[in-house]
This record gives sequence, structure tokens and C-alpha cells, in this order.
Amino acid sequence: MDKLLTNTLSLALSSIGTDPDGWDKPMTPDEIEEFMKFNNSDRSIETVNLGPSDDRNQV
Amino acid sequence: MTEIKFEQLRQSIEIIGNGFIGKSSACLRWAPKWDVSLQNLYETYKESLKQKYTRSPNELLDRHKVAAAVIRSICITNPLIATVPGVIPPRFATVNYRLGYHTGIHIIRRYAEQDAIENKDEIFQRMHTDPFISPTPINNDGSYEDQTVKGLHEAARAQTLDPFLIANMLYLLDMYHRIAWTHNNQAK
Repeated sequence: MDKLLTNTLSLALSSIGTDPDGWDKPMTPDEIEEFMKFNNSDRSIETVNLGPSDDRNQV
Repeated sequence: MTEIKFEQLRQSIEIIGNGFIGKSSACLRWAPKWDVSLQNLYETYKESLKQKYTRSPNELLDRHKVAAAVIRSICITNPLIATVPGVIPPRFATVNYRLGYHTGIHIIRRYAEQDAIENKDEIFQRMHTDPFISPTPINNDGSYEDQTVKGLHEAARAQTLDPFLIANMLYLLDMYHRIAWTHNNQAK
């Protein structure tokens, strides 16, 4: 296995087992469907400070 | 640009997939003849894209569209399946989207690495073989990879896995890595 594939595999496997309350918690199919929905109540993306010229873009 | 043949793709997909299986506590396995199903869909789909969107028969699809065709084919054929249906972690229930995501990134980097080797450009070769730098999400809904897996899941369910949108995502990821890598290596 060459360097690129080694690094691809390392990244792919790096987060497995690190999220016992979320992605790594055993769930029923219905629970998984609920889990896969995006969290649309999180508005932090709209108030993030992007730099000195940013007006914090309040939406 | 030298075209990457399906056999090379298959080997990479198999190595990444075997990594997921090895970490899954025996809840994943390969679907029967997964590679035949994947190759049939991928080759057919890639050819239809090529006929529609290239200007001559000898023109190759660009690397991001090739990778998008592979991602779409993985998300539809589902090469990895659960050994026992029922209660498993969502990471493994949706593992094919993650397999597609990492395979897609791997393909665009393999093409870039080949270009760097052909051009004898050692810096570019290092850029495209060093660990991939993912964007950092700016909300609290999981990593960029996790959010992309959710997006692919929703798109697959809605049958809207558009190769141009996936190719565009891969292009932006490619650019992000190049800029972040250059920034990190200039700072040293």
C-alpha cells in the first residue's frame, strides 16, 4: 500500500469509535432515520466571524 | 492525464472497505458480486457522461466528474451490507456514503499525484499524497465528512445524486486542501 492509499485509509478510519453518543451508538432503523436529519436549529454558521472585515453577518 | 482503470479503483475501494469491515465488530460484509455491480453501473454511467459532455471521443472526463461517477455508483449499488439487519450504529448503516466520500477524494488525489509524477514535480507529489486536509465545519452539526454523509444519504433517497454537484464539491475540496497544504508548508 503506497503513501496516498495509506493516508486515505487512515483518514477514513480515524473517527470510528470516537462518537459513542452519535455515529457509533447502536440504533434501530427508525432512530437512524431521525439521526440522519440535519440539525437545522443550529444557527451558529450564520453568526461566525469570518475575519476583520466581517460584520458577523447576522441573519 | 492518464485514465485510472476500474481494476485500480476496485483495489482501492476494497482496501478502504476492508478497513471499515475490520472496525465494524463483524456487522459489515461485502455484498455478493459487489465489484461486478459497481463496475457495470460505473462504466455505463461514465460512458453516458462522456458522450453527452465531452467534445470528442478521445477526450477524457475530468478527474472530478470521474470521481463523482464513482461516488454515485457506490451510493446506488451499496457494496457494503450489514451482516444482520437490525440495531447497528448509523456509521455502519450508512457506510457506503462514507466509502464513496473517501474513494472520491482518493481518486482526485491519485490523478493529481500521477500528473505530478509525469511532470517530475516533487512538491505537488507531496501535496497530493500527504494527509488530506478537510474543511472545518462552522456549525455544531458534526464534521464536514459527517455532514457530507448526511447530504449524500438525503440525495440518494431523493434520487438526486447529481454528478455535476458532486464534482463541484470535490473540486472545492481539492482547492481547499491545496490552499491549506500550501499555507501549512509555507509557515514551516
